Amino acid sequence: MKCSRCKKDAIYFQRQSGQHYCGEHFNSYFVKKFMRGIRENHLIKKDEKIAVAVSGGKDSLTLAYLLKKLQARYPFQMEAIIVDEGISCYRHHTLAAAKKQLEKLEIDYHIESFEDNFGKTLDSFVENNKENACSSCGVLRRYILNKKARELSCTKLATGHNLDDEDQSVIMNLMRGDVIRFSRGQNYYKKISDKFVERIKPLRYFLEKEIVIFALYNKLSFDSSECPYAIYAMRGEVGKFLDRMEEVRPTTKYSLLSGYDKILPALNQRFIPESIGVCEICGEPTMDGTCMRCKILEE
Amino acid sequence: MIKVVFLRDKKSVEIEAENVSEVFSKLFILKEQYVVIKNGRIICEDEPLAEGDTIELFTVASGG
Repeated sequence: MKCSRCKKDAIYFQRQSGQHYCGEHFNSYFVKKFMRGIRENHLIKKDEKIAVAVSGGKDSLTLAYLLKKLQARYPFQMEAIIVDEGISCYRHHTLAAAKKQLEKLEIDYHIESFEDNFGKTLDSFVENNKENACSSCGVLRRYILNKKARELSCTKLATGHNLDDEDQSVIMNLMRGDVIRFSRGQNYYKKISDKFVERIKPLRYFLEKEIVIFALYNKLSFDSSECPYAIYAMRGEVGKFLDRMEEVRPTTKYSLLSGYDKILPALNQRFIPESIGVCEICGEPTMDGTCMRCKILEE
Repeated sequence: MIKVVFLRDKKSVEIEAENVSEVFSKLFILKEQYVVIKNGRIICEDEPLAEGDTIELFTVASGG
């Protein structure tokens, strides 16, 4: 098939728009959409300092690549944070991909490990409880990213969450009945503590498949393996369900997130407090007396 | 016959198909979950295939 805009061979058929894209036009569509998203949502202000969370996968490295492009035309500072959770047979090669691509992009990075921060690796934390690996890892990783971004005096923390990730989180939080997480969202982030560095997700309206095509087409050196703990996560099952829905009803993924974003301000107002307290052990912000990180460490 | 290589699993199967969409439906796999590569180039799902072609399937989901 040929590109809808020129005579070149198409590399991607976008089902929701009915458009075929050649590599060049796909790239141009992707970069323009990214830049427009940053501008229209006021995600990055002039001269801000942004921390980019980089894992070594296609999402975070695409984000770093595009932010570097943005930096060429808009003044802001950027540093990357890589978290080494300590996952054997996995993290060492994702870490290598992250370092290689960041060095190519000339982005300074900092590596923070679970071992240095908490005294042990994720593998040790979940040795007898692999089913909880993803939730423990998420809490501990977010703690490190926030703390390091704050130490670096960053005003925003950018993560590579894509449309599929966001939709999966919406469904998962709803299925768990976790009203607080369901209502917290991202676009209408309420500043409930000065200790939280504001998070931005510039890729949240990009399909995961489009990000893979972009990363492959631009020859980014990303790692495409799957975390060994992913098989225990609910996310994978929810993701498969959404893929099946998208197959039979194209635009399902967009509609779900845009519908969620419309009700989010009301949810935010109803369920999220104006401010929260601090953990009695570590002093980090929390809604309970003891934060999740300290609960995990105590266990 | 078309040779279909699953890059992550390092597995391959051979199948009769006239285009990429037919490969997906015959193997009961979803278009959302793979990017298709032929001769080192990404191709569309509606791309016609010819006898003896090899396509590679790059798994979309990765990480955690």
